[in-house]
Amino acid sequence: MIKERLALTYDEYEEGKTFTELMENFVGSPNAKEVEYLEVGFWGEPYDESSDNIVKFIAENSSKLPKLKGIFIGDMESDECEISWIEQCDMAPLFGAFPQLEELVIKGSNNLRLSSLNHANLKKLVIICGGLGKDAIEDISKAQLPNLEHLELYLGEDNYGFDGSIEDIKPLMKKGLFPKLKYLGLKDSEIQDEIAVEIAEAPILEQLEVLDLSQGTLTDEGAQTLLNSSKIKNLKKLDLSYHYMSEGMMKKLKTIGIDVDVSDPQGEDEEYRYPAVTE
Amino acid sequence: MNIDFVIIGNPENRRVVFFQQALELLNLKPAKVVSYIDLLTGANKIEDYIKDDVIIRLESPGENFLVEKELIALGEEDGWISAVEARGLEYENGRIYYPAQWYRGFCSFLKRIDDRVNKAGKRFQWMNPPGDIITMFDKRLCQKLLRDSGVSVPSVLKKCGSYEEVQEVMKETNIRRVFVKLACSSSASGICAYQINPRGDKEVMYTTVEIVRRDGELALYNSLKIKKYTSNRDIKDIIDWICGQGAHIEVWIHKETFERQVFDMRIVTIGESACHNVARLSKSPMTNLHLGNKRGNVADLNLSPDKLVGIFQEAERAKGVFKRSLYAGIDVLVSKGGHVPYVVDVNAFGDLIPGILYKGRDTYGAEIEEMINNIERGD
Repeated sequence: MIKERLALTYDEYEEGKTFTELMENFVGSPNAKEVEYLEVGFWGEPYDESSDNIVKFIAENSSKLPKLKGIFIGDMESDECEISWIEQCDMAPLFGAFPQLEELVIKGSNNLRLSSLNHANLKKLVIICGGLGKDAIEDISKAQLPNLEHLELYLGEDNYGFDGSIEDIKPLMKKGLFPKLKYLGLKDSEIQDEIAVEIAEAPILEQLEVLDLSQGTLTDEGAQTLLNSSKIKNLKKLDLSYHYMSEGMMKKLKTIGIDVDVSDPQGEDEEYRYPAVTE
Repeated sequence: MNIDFVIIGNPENRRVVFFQQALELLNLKPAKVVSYIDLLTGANKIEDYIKDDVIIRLESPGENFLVEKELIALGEEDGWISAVEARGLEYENGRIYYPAQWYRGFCSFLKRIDDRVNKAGKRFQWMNPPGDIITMFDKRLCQKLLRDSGVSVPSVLKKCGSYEEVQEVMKETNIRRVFVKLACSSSASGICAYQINPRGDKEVMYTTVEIVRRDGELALYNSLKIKKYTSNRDIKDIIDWICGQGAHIEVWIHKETFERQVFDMRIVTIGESACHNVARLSKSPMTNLHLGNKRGNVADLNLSPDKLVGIFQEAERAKGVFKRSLYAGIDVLVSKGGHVPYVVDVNAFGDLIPGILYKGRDTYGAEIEEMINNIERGD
């Protein structure tokens, strides 16, 4: 896979170099036509200026990027921009401009939309964020993605943009919504227990290989319904890493006969205080 | 070889133990250890240990609450609490008590020790002299000295006395992201990575400080888990508190990442050479190793050979500002993408990186060898 990464470095940004210059140089270069995966990183002031111009620019230059199959918009670390502050936009232009696109990864969810999403070849859609808005969730649940195999959504919490409820997430648990779906991640949620309870007996488990409920606030309550589920054993893998389950529950989950990841248990805050260390 | 070492330190601390082990490995006799607490309470006098050709090592006073209380007591003049109150403080794991007053007490102590050693009228050498340690512990003064000497350091915001002033200065200068640090304390205590978002006046702080409100009073703790604050009330209280103790505020430079973790490097510089080094990788903006962050090899970080040379040179340049000192732990980060090195800290007691060897010696062994070489050269 031939990758290209477009990102302003800290020093370039300080010197006043712009992301537009980077993009123009890239599409004007001879290797643009070979690039299969494009990563868009730090673009200046992502908390102030949205990705809108970037998405439109990439879409408008699709003819210069004939082999592009994967795009990552917002590939930056929290050291560059707080994830919940990254301003995104409607990604619709990308889907229209790149019919051969197979993978889209988006980091940051402010003002993110995926409107009128209808794409024949997209296989993988990942949204990493602190909180996904219900508008964007609805866009996905109404999407036509006949080839989608991997859907991974960080749902987050209301402080960072999650304004929905379990009712907004339920439509994503419908069997056959995406006929080829094998990996479903409904993760990083403040209502992880509700999601676990809702999905434990959902027919969609019959088509999945991996269910990813990691990174959220899962407790024994949600885990118990997964343990009791008649369908959970059809999975190849259940990812519950980063959780608030008890030791006992972790042990029980280990015995159900499929690969269950219960790593990274979260403890109480008090035990993290440390005595002053003078370096 | 018959060399007498004296350590001023907390005898129970592993730092002292490691140094003694290093002496033993080099077939040298053990150092005499004078405890901070005995010197502070007057149970022992430093001058009794000073004889000709002695080498004195000042170790960290940290991780000992009795010593901490005595140092706060010693800093009572213009301080927050009296010496009596200081001695009555109750131990709470992680509690940060009056760091500015502690620093004042530590300075008084070091000056007193320096004075008494000088008056003993013997030939002696410090490994690191008290004056340098006083300077290294003051981030504002230390960073200014580094800058004036041409060392690459992050830009510093002008002195701020309150949260409102910090806001004002950040808006004026269009700097959205800063590190707010206690000006005078150990390097991992009271560090906040703070950023403001002009959209809707949002703000967020990642910090090692945990704030607790009890009976209308503020108590602050060092937390091993990085805390994230987004409420204005918490952020304002923390910044106001740090400003009250003396704040060092510098621009937050995007650190380079390796495998999705930001990193910086601790480079122990001995004499004029960058020696032991370790990469400190973190998922949070704070890279200090006791926060559960990962240690890595500097050589594995995908830095080009000439950038690496530049990083080590920058550490050596920083150490060069403290020529009278034998060693210092220099923290260097490189900016994301461009790999420009910046010195972010000079740690007087920054040589505790167990298990890292350089030319077959740990930091303590290498320091002792360098000391002996200096003596043999007649430096």
